[in-house]
Amino acid sequence: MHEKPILRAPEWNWKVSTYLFMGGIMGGLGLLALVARPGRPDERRLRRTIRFVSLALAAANPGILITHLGRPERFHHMLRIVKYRSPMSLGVWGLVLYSGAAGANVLRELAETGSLPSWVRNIAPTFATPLQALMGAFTAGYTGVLLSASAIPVWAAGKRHIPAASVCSGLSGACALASLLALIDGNDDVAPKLERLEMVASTAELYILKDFRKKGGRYVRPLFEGAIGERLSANTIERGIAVPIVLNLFGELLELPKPLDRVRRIAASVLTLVGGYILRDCLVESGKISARDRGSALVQPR
Amino acid sequence: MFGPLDELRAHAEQRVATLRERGVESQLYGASDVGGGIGPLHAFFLLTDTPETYNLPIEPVLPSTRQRDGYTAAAVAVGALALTAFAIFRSA
Repeated sequence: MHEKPILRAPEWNWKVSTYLFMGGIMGGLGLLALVARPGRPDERRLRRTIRFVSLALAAANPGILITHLGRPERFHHMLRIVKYRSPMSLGVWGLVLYSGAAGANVLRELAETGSLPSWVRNIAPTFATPLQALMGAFTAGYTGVLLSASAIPVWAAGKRHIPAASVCSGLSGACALASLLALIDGNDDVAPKLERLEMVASTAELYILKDFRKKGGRYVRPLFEGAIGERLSANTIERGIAVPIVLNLFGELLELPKPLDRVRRIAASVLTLVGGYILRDCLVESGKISARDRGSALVQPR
Repeated sequence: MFGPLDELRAHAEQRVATLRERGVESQLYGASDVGGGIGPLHAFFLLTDTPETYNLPIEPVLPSTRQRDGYTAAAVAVGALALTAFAIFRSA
């Protein structure tokens, strides 16, 4: 019997968790900006906020990636090739295109509201909004593919569940963030739409996680059992999904007094966002434990 | 050992046959399909015990082959949620 483990545990930390989490939010925001109709004042204001915030995230996320890479020039090297078989390579390109589209959309926004001369509109193409949505969807999904295209058993076993859950969690997180921003902005009309969409995305996420646990068998024990399992259960499944769904249902069904409703909205959004981050962190951390599971490493998931 | 692959494989198979004649259980790992659809490996080994004794996976899988399923699952989720999002925003 060998004493050395078969697989090398990933040396990933909170930076990767944050990167995966923010990638999901960026994806959800891209979709929300596409869905928002410019003809409706509340949706137009939502789109304006999202355009600025998504550009800020698009600027911050490569920063996290670059510090994680250790040597900044590695990021530059990644921009010299496109490798279809590598999610890491495609992901960088998705991020670059998303940033470009987000930048163009901010220029459009500033030109439309008169902060910039109107000719600026012409250099920012109209397809920037769908492009940002498409690249955002890719960014949210590829973070899951990135994990499963490895030999780490728990990630490999989640080849369908992890990408799908990442997309759902990304959208519910984006709705929560947009809802908080709308609250600050005083844009109350758009909140019920965001909350309804968040409920659907969170419910789908919950179902996918339950199904992952059921189908994953031995491979997913590091994620759903032990200290990580408890953390996932308490912070993501209960407080990050179930409680916000209930809070959003209250908002849908009851006419709460305004101050109380604000507290409800803030609580639901913050819990959803925290749950989304903890989900990514538990995925990353469970990979380290999974790598040490000899039996799973010997008979790898299909 | 180095040399043309066909010769190396023939040599290894002969060695396995000799060992088995002497009563030593042995097998080649990586000379033909290892299982999991990978096919022959770039290096192969003569084992006198099960692969797991040598820390070799029993039926290794190429991790990159999982990507298609992953992107498909993500695309299905994106499509379903995008339709829901349009429906929710249009109905309000």
